[in-house]
Amino acid sequence: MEIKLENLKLNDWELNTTLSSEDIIGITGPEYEEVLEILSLKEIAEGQIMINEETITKENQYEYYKKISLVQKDLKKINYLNTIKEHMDFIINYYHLQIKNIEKKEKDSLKIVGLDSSLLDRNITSLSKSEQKKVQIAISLLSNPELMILDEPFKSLDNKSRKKIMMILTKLKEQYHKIIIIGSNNADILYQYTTKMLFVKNKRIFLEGSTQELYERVDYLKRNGYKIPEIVLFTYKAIKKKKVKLEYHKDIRDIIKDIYKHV
Amino acid sequence: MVESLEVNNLKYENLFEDISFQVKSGQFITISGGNNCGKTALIRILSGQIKTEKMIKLFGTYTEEYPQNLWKEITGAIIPQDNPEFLFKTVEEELNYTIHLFKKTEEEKKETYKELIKKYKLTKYQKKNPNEVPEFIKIKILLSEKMLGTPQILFLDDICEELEEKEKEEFIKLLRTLQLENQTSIIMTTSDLNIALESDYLFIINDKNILLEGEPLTVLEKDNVLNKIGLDLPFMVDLSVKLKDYNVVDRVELNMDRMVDTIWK
Repeated sequence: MEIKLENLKLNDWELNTTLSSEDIIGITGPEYEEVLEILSLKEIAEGQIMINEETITKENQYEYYKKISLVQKDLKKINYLNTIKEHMDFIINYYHLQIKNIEKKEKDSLKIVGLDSSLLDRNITSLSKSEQKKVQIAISLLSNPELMILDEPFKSLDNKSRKKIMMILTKLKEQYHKIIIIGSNNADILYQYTTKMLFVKNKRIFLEGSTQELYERVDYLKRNGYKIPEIVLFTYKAIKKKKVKLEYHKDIRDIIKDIYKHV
Repeated sequence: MVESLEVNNLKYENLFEDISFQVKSGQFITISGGNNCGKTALIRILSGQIKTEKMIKLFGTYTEEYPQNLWKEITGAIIPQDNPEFLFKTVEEELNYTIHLFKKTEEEKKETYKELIKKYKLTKYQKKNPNEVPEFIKIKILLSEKMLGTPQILFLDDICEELEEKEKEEFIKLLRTLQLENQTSIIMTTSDLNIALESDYLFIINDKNILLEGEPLTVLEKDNVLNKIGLDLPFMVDLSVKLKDYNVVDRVELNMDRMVDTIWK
């Protein structure tokens, strides 16, 4: 699965990039939320979007945006609705989703995120933070999105819940070939969980490439106001100040072993 | 120091089995734990939103025995998920209304307003709609209003969760100033152990009970226990503790440059 954006223009932004289901993609920068909104195609943008080989034009962009889901930071209860089923039914009606067996689809969506179908009748306000995030993802799966955009998906989650959500996102990428985009300003999280990064700034994609390689460009990122993951910053300081031959690692246990080898 | 809060064998529904602790007057304590350990429920119980019987004493008197007026006077609570919309159209009107409830003369009111704006760094938001300002400003408005009544004990529920690193630092500084000025005891839940590190005493809740307690750095040295219940250690604490296990360093070092200098002298 691949989405190519060429001169996609909206609200002074201009985006040129290729997003693929090969990577877990991170987006960061002071205005990253605006990029998530543009990518969600809720507003008609100028420019060209190619999905696999198909070109999306201004005329059919509206139809296509159902294939993109934007999972917001928090699960928002819709005023007069209570249960998860009510919320799912609402989304199906609101977006005119063509689903043959609605009950099966709702149960299957919950199953993909590891939740039991008995949860359908639970009040949305009674869910734990981790359940809320899973339910948000399950709701977004109702439209069979090809591109899933998640704004701070790990917010308020402890590391156990984070790992579970990451397993779900990896499964959606590996088994269902969905393009996964994580928007966040938490450098430690992005470094840990993404494989490709888009750094945005001044209404453009300022820098893009492999997460590992880009975060190693510490001076450049710092000069441009980006936060550096702490594990990277420590390694960078050791290399720069003490000329130690440490490697950049993602797991603290690996850097400990590396330090031990070099003391 | 006098004990301001005493919790004795607190049991509550399926959340707490047997929780006991004391908070001394003027102490800043943090309570942490993994998702769903009951942090918000505990703040609701301590701040009197959820009633208990003969389990919690504030300044020697059971909380349920306080008349409502007195309780409101000596305690303050901020639980972000409960906060309703501000009623006024500007931060200035919002603050002036609250000041009006506490101060009598016009001169006092004006002076207090000036002080609040300065202390809470709200100058550039005075004419803004309080419902539309950033989360950090909303929190500072709420805190400034609570502190007008100079409560002797303040309950805060994961109030730093939405804040950026710099905002967290400013907020902790502000809390420390308020704590010193008024001898206010502060009880704050947090899912961020970096925040806990700034407090005087830390409790970790897990599986309905207090799992660990003590001076924050000492508690955080139990990295395996904390990781197991889903908590992330601050990076420098985690690094120090693990390097200690390898005998590379002999104490926790929170400063990255000093750590590099210590390892490679």
